[in-house]
Amino acid sequence: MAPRLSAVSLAVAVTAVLVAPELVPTDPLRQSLADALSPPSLDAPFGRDHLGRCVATRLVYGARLSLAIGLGATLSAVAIGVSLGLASARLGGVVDAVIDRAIDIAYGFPGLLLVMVLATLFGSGPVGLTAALTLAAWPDYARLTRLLGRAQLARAHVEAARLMALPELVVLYRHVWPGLAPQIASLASFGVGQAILTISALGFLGLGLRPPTPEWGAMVAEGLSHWHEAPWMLVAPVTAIALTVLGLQAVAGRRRALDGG
Amino acid sequence: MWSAAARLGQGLAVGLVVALLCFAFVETLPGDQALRLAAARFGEDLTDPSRAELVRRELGLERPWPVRLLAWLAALAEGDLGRSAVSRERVAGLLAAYGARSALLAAVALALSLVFAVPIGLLSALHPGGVVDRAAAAFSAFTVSLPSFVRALALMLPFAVELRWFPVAGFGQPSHLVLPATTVALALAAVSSRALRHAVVAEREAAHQAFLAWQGLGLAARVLPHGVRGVAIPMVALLSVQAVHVIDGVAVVETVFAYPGLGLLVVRALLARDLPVIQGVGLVVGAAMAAIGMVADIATRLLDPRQVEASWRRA
Repeated sequence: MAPRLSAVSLAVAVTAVLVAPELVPTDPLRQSLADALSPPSLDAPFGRDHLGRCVATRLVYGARLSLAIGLGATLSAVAIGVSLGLASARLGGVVDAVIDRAIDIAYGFPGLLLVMVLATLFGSGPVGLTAALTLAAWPDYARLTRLLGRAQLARAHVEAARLMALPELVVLYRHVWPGLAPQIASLASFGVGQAILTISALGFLGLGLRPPTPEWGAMVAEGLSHWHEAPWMLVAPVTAIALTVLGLQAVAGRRRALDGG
Repeated sequence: MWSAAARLGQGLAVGLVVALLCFAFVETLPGDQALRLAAARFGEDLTDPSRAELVRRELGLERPWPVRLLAWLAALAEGDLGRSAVSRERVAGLLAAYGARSALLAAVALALSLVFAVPIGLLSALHPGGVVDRAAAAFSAFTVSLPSFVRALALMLPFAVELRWFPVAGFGQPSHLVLPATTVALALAAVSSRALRHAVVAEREAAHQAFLAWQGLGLAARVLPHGVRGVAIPMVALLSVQAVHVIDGVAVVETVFAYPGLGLLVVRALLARDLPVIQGVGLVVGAAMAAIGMVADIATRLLDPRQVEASWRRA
């Protein structure tokens, strides 16, 4: 039951992302100080924040931002990591040693701290944030690809393909990659969830996307100072983050790993 | 196999690379460094071009960047980490003071996480698939999906603000440690309780346990020398990974609770573009991670002599 619930909430989030501007007529940046801190109503399903902006609208636009950056960063990290991992596994020798050492060095610094430093240095726009997240995430995929790739490359069907003088890239794409894909996909879904958590942490600290951009973490920070008068300001983004990440983790099958079964 | 010296050297190399990266990018940031530092030092309202000029001259910011980089490296070679661009305190001193407090928080959090994880993990392992097991799994999955600042707030708002059982922020009394350490410990325990549960179940079903029972050994004789060791090996490996994640999670938690540790230091330095402090933290953290990896290696090798090439970072 629970995995289905998580998948549903994820589906809701994705729909929100795709449909946002059409379905939601309000402008997420439009302030209305007269209505500041008003409770949920028909007009604003999750109430209004301290500047009179509709919380629900900001949530939906924030979903689009977080998912876009999270997906973008994860896909880039996968692209870089898998390429390097395959190169390392296939070419072996010096290339393997160099890449392996690079992965070790990249692991030498804790993730969130690295993203914080990189995000500050690259600038706090979506592009800079995506770049920072990508640089922090690629070692995971490189390491996994390198290990799995080595096992795959030793398999009989790969050797057969190579003996048939198929071009190298075709061998890698059609014979090696399908063996790796499920695990990489699982790790990637988990990675998108992690990316969203990191984005919101940065937003909360003020190191990520700057106001007035609607970002869930920043909304939590704003909601914190008003939580007595307007608890919906805090509850809404927190719920959004939790449901989205839970949904992604369910998709990743991580829950199965945490379960008894 | 990593020798101790190679590990430590690599850690410092990582720190150095990070520090150089910081230097390179702060240089390319748009806007005037001196102006921003002056704003951090004197406050936004009191900043004007003359104050910025003061800062510029004091820090030698008018020199070309290769000169400044070499100067920094030279000072580093002598063990001088420089001074904060904002407060003019010695970076080494700041790192020692804030670092010690972070280390304290990390140690307490790790210990607390075991206090949570061991009973939960053991109870879950008693009846795999039972109510306790599934409830624990659900709780773990939920806790892990929450961002760290949400967990921090979930503890702070009811217990510190409303009930006033604990102080909201700061440092000085043992009670200041409770909420921040619990926040971190909950996340750690979410993972380690599951790992413990899996390790215990695996150990119970392992072939050698059946053999020992068949030999007629009682429960104590089976568990104490054999069972504990079998469970300890994966747990020690996990704990070393978690020690790394503690360094990670500490930044946000310290900021929320205004706990004066390295995390808070680095966040403030990043917001103020205080380059010497950022570089210093980068160096220290890189070295610390290497040290943790080394300790983990030694511990695993001691526990399991079979693993000559043991390293939790290699497959």
